[in-house]
Amino acid sequence: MSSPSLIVVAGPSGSGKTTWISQFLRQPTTPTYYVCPGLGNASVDSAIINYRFPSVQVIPDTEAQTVLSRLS
Amino acid sequence: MELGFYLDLRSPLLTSFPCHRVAVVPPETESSPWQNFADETVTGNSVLSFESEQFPQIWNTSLTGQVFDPPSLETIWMEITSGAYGQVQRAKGLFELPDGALIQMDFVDALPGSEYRELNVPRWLEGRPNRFSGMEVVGWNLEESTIKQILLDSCLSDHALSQYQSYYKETIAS
Repeated sequence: MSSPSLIVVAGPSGSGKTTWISQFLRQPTTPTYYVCPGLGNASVDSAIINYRFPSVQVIPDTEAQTVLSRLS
Repeated sequence: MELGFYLDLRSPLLTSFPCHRVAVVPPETESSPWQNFADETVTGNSVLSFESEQFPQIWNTSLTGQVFDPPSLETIWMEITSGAYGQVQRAKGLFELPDGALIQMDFVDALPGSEYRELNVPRWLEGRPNRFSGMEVVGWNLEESTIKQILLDSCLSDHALSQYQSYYKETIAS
């Protein structure tokens, strides 16, 4: 069984981070998760990913730190 | 994981685990904190980098349960993105419409116009939608409470929403 891989995407506002991620999520081959830390429960990006890619599990902001701590 | 511009890329929380780091930056960006952070650089939209400017503020709000009639929404969106309530660099929103559709709207100051997309979700025609909708604005000197108020002021009343939904249900059934 392969180990999970984490891709972190950063960049200025409006540069196309969510667009790049959306292209990546069109061809999911393994269980995929998405997290956008720091925006609370009103994150529009998290909701968009949730609506457009139902197979992707969106991790709530409140759980982001816990999940990241487990990866350290 | 998507990192907004508002996060410090030097944070131990963001550098302490194994990962592949991708920077999405405007064309011809020679050096930036994002590229210094990343293993791979992707060329994105031609937006202004605000390294030398005052750091913008980010504001978001849930609008879950609120429904907008399209002409009012278009007017408000134009007002907000054209700077009536502060200088807007980026705006994105998820809005419910009276025909039950959920639409995504995107604005980037450096790009022409706004993008609209209807999301592939079931039409909500039974009362107020119980799924997330909301708006996020990035910019400077944003009048946050005013933006929230004009959004709420333009939402449909229970009576108007009920009438719209009855009409659309009849239209779909016939």
